Amino acid sequence: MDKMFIKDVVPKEKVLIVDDEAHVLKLMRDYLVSEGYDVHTATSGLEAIEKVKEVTPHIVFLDIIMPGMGGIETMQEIKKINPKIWVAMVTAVVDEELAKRVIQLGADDYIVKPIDLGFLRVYVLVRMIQLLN
Amino acid sequence: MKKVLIIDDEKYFCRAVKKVIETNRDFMVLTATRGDEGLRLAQTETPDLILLDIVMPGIAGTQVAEELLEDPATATIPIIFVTAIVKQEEAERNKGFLGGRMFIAKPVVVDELLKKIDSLLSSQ
Repeated sequence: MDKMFIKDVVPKEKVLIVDDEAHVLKLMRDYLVSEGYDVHTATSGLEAIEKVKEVTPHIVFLDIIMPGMGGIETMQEIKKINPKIWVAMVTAVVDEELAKRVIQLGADDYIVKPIDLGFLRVYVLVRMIQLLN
Repeated sequence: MKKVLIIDDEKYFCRAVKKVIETNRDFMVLTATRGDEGLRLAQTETPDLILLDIVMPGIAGTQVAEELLEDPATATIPIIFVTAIVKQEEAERNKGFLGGRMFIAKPVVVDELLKKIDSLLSSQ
């Protein structure tokens, strides 16, 4: 019988970060990699959809305002591909109406930038427990 | 309930090994990603077994082991060293022992890990 390694039994949890701002991507990616996650990035809605099909992330952090296909449309496409993927919409604007709207349209959460790294660590840890147990 | 402490700076490794042990055995698994944190947990929780990474930033695993041995409260806790330095074939050839210490090579094989844990805990 083939040997079963830890990584085969418990694969790394996958996160996709979608943002057109390179420094946001790098900051979040580097931190989540240091926390031991398998992190993927995309800089546009279309690229995000390709990455979702390719890697099936557990959690997507998705910027609402992006050139081309916007965050809301991208979220709806992701949910069509796999409704179990947790999609947290990310924006620099604290807007209650926008938050209500994105949740009504199918998003799982609404997070405001800048994202504190301590918050990000606990957020991903708790969501992964919810999603994988 | 038996307690296992994992001390490894690789956070994914801690999470994954904790899940594997808790899924397969009725043990409580504690984790620490730094040597000093691991030492503190070993002293306060007195686990039945410690899985200890050798190469870690800050206090290395070898130093953690020395400090555990020097403290009467933790001196008798069995330790399995976990490392990518030792090749699996090398560890297997020596029946998991090198220099009188029990080793397990990374990447860790699930059955091998559980067998080693069982062998050490059943002899207690």
